[in-house]
Amino acid sequence: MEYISTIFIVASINVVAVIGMTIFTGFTGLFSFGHAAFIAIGAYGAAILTYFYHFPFILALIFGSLLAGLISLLVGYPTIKGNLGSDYLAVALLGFGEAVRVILENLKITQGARGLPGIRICCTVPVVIIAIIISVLIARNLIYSKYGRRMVEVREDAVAAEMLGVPLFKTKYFSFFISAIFCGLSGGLFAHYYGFIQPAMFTLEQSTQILTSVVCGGIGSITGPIVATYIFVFIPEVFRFAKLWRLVFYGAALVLTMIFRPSGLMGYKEIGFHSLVAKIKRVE
Amino acid sequence: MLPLLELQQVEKTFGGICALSDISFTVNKNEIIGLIGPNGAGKTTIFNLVTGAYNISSGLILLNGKPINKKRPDQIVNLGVARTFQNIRLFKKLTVLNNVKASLYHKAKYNIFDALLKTGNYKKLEKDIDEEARILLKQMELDEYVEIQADNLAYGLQRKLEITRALGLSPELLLLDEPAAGMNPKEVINIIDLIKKVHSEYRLTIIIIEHHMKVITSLCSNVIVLNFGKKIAEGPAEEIHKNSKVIEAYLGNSTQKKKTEIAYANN
Amino acid sequence: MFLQTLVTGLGIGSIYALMAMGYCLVFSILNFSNFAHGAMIMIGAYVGYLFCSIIGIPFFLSIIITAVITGILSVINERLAYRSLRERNAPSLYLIITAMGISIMLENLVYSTIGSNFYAYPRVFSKNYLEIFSSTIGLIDIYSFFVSIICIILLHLFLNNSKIGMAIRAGVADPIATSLMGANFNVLIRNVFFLSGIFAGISGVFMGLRYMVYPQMGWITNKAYIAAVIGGLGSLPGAIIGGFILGIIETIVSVYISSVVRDVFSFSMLILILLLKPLGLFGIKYEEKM
Repeated sequence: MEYISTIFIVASINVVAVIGMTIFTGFTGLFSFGHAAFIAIGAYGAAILTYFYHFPFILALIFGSLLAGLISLLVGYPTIKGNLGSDYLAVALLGFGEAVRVILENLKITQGARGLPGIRICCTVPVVIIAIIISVLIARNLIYSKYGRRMVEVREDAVAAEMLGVPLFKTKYFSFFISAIFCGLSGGLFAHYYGFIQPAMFTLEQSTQILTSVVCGGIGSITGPIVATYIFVFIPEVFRFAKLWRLVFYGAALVLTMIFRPSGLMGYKEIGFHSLVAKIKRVE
Repeated sequence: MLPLLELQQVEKTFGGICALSDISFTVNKNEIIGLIGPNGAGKTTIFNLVTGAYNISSGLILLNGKPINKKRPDQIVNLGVARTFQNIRLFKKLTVLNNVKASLYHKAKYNIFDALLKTGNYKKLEKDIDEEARILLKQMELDEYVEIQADNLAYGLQRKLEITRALGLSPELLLLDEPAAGMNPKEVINIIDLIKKVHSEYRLTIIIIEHHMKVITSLCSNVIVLNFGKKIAEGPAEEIHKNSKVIEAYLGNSTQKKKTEIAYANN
Repeated sequence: MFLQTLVTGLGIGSIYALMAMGYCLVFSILNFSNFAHGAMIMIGAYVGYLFCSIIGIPFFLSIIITAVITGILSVINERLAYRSLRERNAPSLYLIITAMGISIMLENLVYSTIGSNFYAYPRVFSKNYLEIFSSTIGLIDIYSFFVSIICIILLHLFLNNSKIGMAIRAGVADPIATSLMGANFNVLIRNVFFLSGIFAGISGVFMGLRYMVYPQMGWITNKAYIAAVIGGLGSLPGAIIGGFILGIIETIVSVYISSVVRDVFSFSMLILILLLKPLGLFGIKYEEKM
């Protein structure tokens, strides 16, 4: 039982970051390969508050998320402002991931490469369930509001969207900010689950895993990527031998999805109570 | 009366190549203006400059007497300019309803907290927009397609939906880029009626780019003719096709024309 | 001391420039970031090591063989992964994701089969250093500098004088018109990817020679993308100049400040340049036809 709850928590922490990425990549159509850096910032931001200053867990989580959001505003401004394709942002974020790791390794407060051992462990099953519920609610309300619809319009046709009064820069910038907030929250949970963080934990591998869940789960869907995240965490646990080949599989999954089923598992659709009922009825 | 739109010596170059030079004209309120000329004459470029998609190289564009050439496209939209595209640019994966709602959201004055907390204000404004979109679709006789994905609509209906979407912005000035392109004669008549209806019901000022002379002659009070990035003629629709420069632009100059006639005769 | 730093900077910068050119060639014609380029460079380093060290072929011959092999791999990559996406006019987001997928797959394929060991190239030059004006100057810097310059000149001549090269330049200027003029667009793209692969191979060998060979060296290849963005995406001269600027500044920072902050510094420089010039130093804004 404890084993299952461990896997569940690990997957759920990923889900929070995946929800952020699905807003950025799935709904706004922008590409990032550096969001692990925001997870790191959220993790360190929250952990430093509870570790050194004995802040309450919830406050620390909020601080970590906001810190990640703030830094996303600084990085996003110059790269999104030019109103170009997402290539400039994607490349800048690759550099950003590396820069954050180096900075974390050399700051005094993060205790360098040794990391922070013995962080209070507060992240339990109920905590992640609450975190996921809040995240899904926020994401859903956002997506169905004008803010989310504008993101989708930018993804579908940025030029036409702009000619319908959608402010391109603001929409992309906001989407980036929100995605960083979610990743920051995921990082805060991560730190308070493992009780130990060090810069080497926040790597390209994490960014890969998040992106793979979003793409294979389905662009333009929130529930699809969530399901995909659980699948991607459970499979390597079941097939232990697959661990070494996991990343090869992720890469292949990205390529094959794009070529054969670009809409992913649940592209442009949601798994909802109503659609489930409808499906079951159809089967009967 | 102040003209709605005024272009003063507008010039646009692309990396040294002059796409438009010394373009000046005015459009008065409630007019329908035709913009004609051979392919590559710079007609769509004028639309792109007016809507802010491109920046002008020199000159001035005034809307209601105020310069707009330094503004972003989304700001110009909010000043009352809407457009359609030569090759239809609907949001293909979205439903007909959501395509129209896209143009209504600029009216939704709620903030992010309203959206996240689903406040009363948010719900009311969202409901208003939904209703307004449905009403607009009904007026345009598209109400039976509300939940259909836009790229599943027939071609003619896609054109109609694009115009509907532009109307959602409640513009003062509507720019139509070849609304009758690729249509058969019957559809052309329908679109002419549609534009007439839209023009009177929404009290719009319209500029139309079109190759179908029938559309131009039956709608436009005034026609501007472009060739090689220059304005070569301007005048009422009935008279413009008698203008020698216009004939030259479309058919080549008279000596060439004679040659073609001789060639025909020899055949 | 300064002369030595400058030469090292030019040496590293020239490799960055080579890497960036391959990436930029593809970007300029297809307008998407081919993130698989980094993996091609890594494979180039391994293939070069195979020929140079295990089989024992002379160094410069190994470079040529490696370049041809990575060129072919790059063409295969395009044929299998990108072509079907291109042909159904998929959004560039799909191409970027596919490219990143290829990169992850190849990098980890090497990791799971060959392993994470570091391999060092054999001693290629009889001497490692030269003494000039009482400074020690690395021979590898001089070699990589001159090889890069030769490659740049050859590319320039190729693009301006050969039929294939002119078709590529026309394709960059206007892909649709070029295909209408009778150039087979798929063949054109194949040639571009072959060229890009050649550059990946050559720069990979020099990378391996300088830093050793290991699966995660794809990380260093991110410098290619950063250099190209500094120069302005889509501009070949931009990629070259961006590469040299990045190499020189990185070297100066690691010598005079600290090698630890080097990557932070290059990232800050990227952000600063984009703040001042949103398109990079030589970028051209692509105005979409409507």
